[in-house]
Amino acid sequence: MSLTDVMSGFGLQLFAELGLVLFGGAFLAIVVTTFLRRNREHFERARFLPLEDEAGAPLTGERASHE
Amino acid sequence: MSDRVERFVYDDRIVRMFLLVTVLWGLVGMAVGVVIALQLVLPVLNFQTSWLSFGRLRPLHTNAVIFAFAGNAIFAGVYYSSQRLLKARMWSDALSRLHFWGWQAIIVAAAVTLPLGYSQSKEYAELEWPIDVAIAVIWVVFAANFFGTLARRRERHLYVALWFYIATLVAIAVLHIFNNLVVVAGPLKSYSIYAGVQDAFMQWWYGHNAVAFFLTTPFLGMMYYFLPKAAERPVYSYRLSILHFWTLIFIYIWAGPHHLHYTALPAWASTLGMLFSVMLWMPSWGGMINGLLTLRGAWSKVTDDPVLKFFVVAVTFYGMSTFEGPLMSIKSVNALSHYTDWTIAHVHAGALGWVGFMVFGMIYWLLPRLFQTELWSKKLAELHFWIGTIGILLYIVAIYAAGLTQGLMFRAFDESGRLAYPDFIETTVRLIPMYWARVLGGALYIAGMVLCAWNVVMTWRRAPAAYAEPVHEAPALDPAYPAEVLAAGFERAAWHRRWEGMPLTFSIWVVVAVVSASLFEIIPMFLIRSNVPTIAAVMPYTPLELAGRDVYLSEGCNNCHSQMVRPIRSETVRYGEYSKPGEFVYDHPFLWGSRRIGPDLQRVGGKYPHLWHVRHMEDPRSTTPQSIMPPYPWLAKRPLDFAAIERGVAAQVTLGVPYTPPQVTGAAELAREQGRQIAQAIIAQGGPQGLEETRLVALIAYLQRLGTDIKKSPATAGGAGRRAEALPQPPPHTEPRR
Repeated sequence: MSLTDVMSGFGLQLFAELGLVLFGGAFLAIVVTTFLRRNREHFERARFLPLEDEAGAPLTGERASHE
Repeated sequence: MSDRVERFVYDDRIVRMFLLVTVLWGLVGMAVGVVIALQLVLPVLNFQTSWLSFGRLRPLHTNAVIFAFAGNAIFAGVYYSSQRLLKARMWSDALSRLHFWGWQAIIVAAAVTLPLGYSQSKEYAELEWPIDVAIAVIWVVFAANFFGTLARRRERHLYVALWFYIATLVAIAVLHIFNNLVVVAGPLKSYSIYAGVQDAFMQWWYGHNAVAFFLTTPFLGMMYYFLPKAAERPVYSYRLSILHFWTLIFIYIWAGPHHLHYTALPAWASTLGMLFSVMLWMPSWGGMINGLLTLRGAWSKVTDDPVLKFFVVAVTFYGMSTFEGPLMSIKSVNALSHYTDWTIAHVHAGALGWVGFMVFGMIYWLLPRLFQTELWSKKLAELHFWIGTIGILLYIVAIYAAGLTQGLMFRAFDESGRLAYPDFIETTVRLIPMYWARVLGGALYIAGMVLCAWNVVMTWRRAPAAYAEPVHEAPALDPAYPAEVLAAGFERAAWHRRWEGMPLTFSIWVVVAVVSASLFEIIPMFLIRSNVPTIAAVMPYTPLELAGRDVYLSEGCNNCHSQMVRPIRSETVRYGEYSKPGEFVYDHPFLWGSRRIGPDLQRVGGKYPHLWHVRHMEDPRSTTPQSIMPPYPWLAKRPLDFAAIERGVAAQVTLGVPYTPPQVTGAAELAREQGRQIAQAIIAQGGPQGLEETRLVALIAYLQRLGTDIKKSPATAGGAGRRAEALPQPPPHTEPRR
């Protein structure tokens, strides 16, 4: 008896539907978390990150040090 | 955050390098696109030359624009934005250079091998195994450099653009590796470990998600970085961007089977693919709306800023493509659109509009910053925008019209219940005016690209002799996570915020989402026998037919011909019995195709005498006067490699194809014998002599076999599971069967 025979007996056609439910649930959890009011301040700060990346710099036009 | 302030310099040289080759390969890839568009209206432009024929150049075009043009643009964008978002120089300059030169070497290898006919035939995964190995290695180099930089960052929060980059890195690695698992049959020859239905499933799991994770997620990351930079205002809604991200991660990976509606793929997989595709629409539009609303209050800038113009049109095309994709995934729509130019138009709306214009916007925004001088000509950039936009519209309107026209002609019946256009060539000829419009649209688009290249070169020439390397400073990151977030715990839903600051954990969860979603579809597909019912009459190919199949995929015949008769009345009337999953169990790789520029070939076996095929390959217009197929005169001149045939049969045995040991060791002789039989039949039909050991005779053997097994009884066929001792002696076809 091959692995295919064994697996064929498990009725795995439901596997995909189960996945749909699980992934839908996980996605809903993220939606809820994202829109919780207490996270608003954190996300508001994150929004500005691309605009902050040059803030306060450059210090000089020369190479001062490498990381 | 630590009190210790650190100083650092960004590596912009690597960004300049990637940006310059983006322009170079963009010119090459798009030029090849215009050439193949011209070949469809002027077949003489195939020049009767193997390495210039449409079937070989089409994969070169797709690979060049995806992996060379878009790929290098991704790397430029990722290297520039990641360093700034993380407040850290790339982890290793050496890895950056290795990544750059390794990727360019891969591109050159592709540009040489694809025209020479070394191809696995799977769309966007045509490259042969040594190049695939190199891609995996260089991708690991890129990933190591990126994750090393994440580890050394000075900004705790990972901005959403970085999430999209992480998803790209992990998903492309998974997709590339699992779709390219092969058994090696020579230095530049391999066979997919998957067969038929399962290979088709894996290919479109890969193909669709290559679009998702190579042409969508990295560009969305770049949109979330470069659009706010260009507009000088933050993204409209950061929360929406988070939803946008997780939507793609959770949903996109399931959608691949919508490429295989009404094929031999099991209906449950097809329906699942459709369902997830439709679910993608709204969140994708959330992303588009987020992009466009970022410009709230800045629309006045759009009128005089070419960068914003490119971005606005790009985001608009993203919205259009992500509406059209779900629409086309609906089975009844797909029945019309599949195998027609509608798909080509959809792809190009996304590629030229979304990807291309995002790249151009990014290039024009980066040029003054990278080359530390003003853009050479803003007017030229504006001209590029308008020429490019008109080019896209000309291209897609014409090709949408072509797709709808041919789709409707395929399925049209007259009042007596017969096919209204029974001769396939009628449907092709009708498209020629629209193909000319495509050539014009493509030419305009590449003309814009030339203007861009000119602007890049002239700006580069005005760059200072030595670039200033500004020194930045930022506090080092405290290794301990902020106490308030740790204290918040799960109950306060701070877990997502913690992930955002923990790249490794975050990446692992992305991998889990991508892999587990894939497995939910893949495991049932591979392990439930009822998905691929076997057919006793279906036998392995003879060694010569196998060699002919290799010629077929080497010449890229699958770029124009499908091998899949869908269970749709217009198709069964036109081509014959619809295709069954069990017919493809020995097809490593599958060759179902995705576009019918020529007719389906699944039931072509025995339809014409051998001599018809000889004449057809020599000059297609001698048998079909208005054919746009290239001639293949070299097939009658180039000898078969019998040692390669033996290696090929041995590799098939490794894959589980039931050849007997004598069939493996005697493969060359068996092939010679069948070649002699076909060559004699050709002579008897009044054809030329001396074809018995040529590639042409192998290709004819393969074509004459196609779709014939199910017409035989299991007793005469020998049976698939019986090692088919009678296999090497198929009856010679001396007369047309019908």
